[in-house]
Amino acid sequence: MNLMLKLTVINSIVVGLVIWIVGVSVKDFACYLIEKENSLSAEQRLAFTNQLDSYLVYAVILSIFIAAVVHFYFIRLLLYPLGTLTEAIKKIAKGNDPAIIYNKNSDEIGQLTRHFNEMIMKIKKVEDSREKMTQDVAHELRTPLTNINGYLEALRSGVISGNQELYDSLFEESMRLTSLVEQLQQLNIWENEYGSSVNYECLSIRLLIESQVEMFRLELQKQSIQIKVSVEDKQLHAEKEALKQVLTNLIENVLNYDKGGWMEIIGFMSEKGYQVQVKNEGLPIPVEDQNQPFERFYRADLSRNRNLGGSGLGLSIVKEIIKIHNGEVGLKTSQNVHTFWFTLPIENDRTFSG
Amino acid sequence: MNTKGKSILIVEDDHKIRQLIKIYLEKEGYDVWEAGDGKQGIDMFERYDPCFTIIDLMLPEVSGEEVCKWIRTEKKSDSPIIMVTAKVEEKDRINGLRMGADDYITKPFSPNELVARVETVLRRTENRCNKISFQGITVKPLKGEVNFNGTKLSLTNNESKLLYMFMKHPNQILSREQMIEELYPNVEKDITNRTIDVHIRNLREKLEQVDAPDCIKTVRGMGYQFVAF
Repeated sequence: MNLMLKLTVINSIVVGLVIWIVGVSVKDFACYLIEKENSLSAEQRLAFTNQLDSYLVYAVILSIFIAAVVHFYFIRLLLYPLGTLTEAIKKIAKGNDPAIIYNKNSDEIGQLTRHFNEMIMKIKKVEDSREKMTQDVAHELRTPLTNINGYLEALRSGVISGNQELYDSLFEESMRLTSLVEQLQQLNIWENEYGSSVNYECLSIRLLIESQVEMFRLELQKQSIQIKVSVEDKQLHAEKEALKQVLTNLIENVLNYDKGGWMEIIGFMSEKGYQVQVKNEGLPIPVEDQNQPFERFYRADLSRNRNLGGSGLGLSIVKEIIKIHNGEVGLKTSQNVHTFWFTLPIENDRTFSG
Repeated sequence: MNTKGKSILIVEDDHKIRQLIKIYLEKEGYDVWEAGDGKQGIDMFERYDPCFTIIDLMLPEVSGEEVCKWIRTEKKSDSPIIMVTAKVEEKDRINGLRMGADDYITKPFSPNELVARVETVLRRTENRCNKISFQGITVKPLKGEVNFNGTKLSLTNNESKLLYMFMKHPNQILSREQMIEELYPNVEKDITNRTIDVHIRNLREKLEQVDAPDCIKTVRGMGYQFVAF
């Protein structure tokens, strides 16, 4: 039996009962008055009582009927949005995209509908970004695969003969695939699991930055990039490995896109907490793209030219890690000079919410 | 089908893929030009007017779609185009074909497949391109025009006819008698082999003037040979 029928029956029974009780009391009172007057014979009194009884029965039946009709109508009006909601949920379960449901009421069902709409929007957004991610990953895999497959086919069929240079370049392609897979994995970890299990520790930001720069010293020299580090020291609560990763990715980003031959790392206290800036001169980034470099697979170069290196995921990993630390990331750019910055809250051991 | 001497322009930014396509096409006897980005692609198309163009869609400077559009609408050329791309969605494919591409191949592709598709498209569109190219030298027989890497050579009618004859039969030894037959088919009076030698000398000189490779070899006692590769 559906909800509408149940509610109608219950309501009708209640109305019937109320009428019955009221009716019986009225009848009893009438009988009492008549007995007190004593103006009627016993027969007449009996007829009067019977008459009252039958009126009572008619009244109860009629009121139950009217109540049923009225209730049925109003309950159906109230429950109608629930039906639409149910249909929409069924659609989601089947894997279809439901439409936004229109309901301007502010009652509980109206609220439910609003939340439901929010949920649909969110699902759509997640679905869209998942789709885009899959497409981007497939795209990033295609070019190295074309090279590996193509050259192997050429080698196998004897169209070309192998040499050291070719093997190196094919190995490079395969390493590219490997690093892409690794970065995807990392992104996945930071996005999904890490929030609940960050090992915060107290660390000196200056020591950390200096040791990371030291690691890249050779590579920076090789590309003849001058580096200047001026970092105000501060004890920060953060996960060491995560922060190392952030710095590594930012420095690698400079290495991949450097055009100016210099980079600068600055660290200082700001209103939002401790701020680290990595400044260099690279490819121009259009003003409307200022937030894009932190998006997955963004390349300043439209063709996603892989000669410049990088998988396009490094900065999105930075963003995820800093987000978990309750910090912010951003980019300031004037012409070809770019400043990638991130902030870490000073007391993030207390504000940390998981 | 004779694929020898058809000129193909590859517009692709990944030099390894470009190289791979080039190796396979040259093996089949095509004359291959390379462009590393869209802008260069347009420049080279303008200069060399190739028989066939292979375009990657994701290019720096100017996108592949724009290059394709430029060829079709600005240049008003119906020279066959194959698009090579990592975009796989149906709408991308339809979009590519709408822009005037003759075929569409997605990465990763087998180089043999690409060559087969080039051949198919060429067969379908054979009458669109009569010109013939080897090592940068292009002869347009209908106009009687000869170019080397985009520079026009001023050849006499006989010289360009000879060159065209050579290029139609690459690596074959042609005798002086055959050439006389080609140049003076209905002339009764005696034309000596010396006439041919003079034509060849002039042709060689003119090719040398524009630094074209020395393709015409003298084969002692037999005639001349056009060395294509």
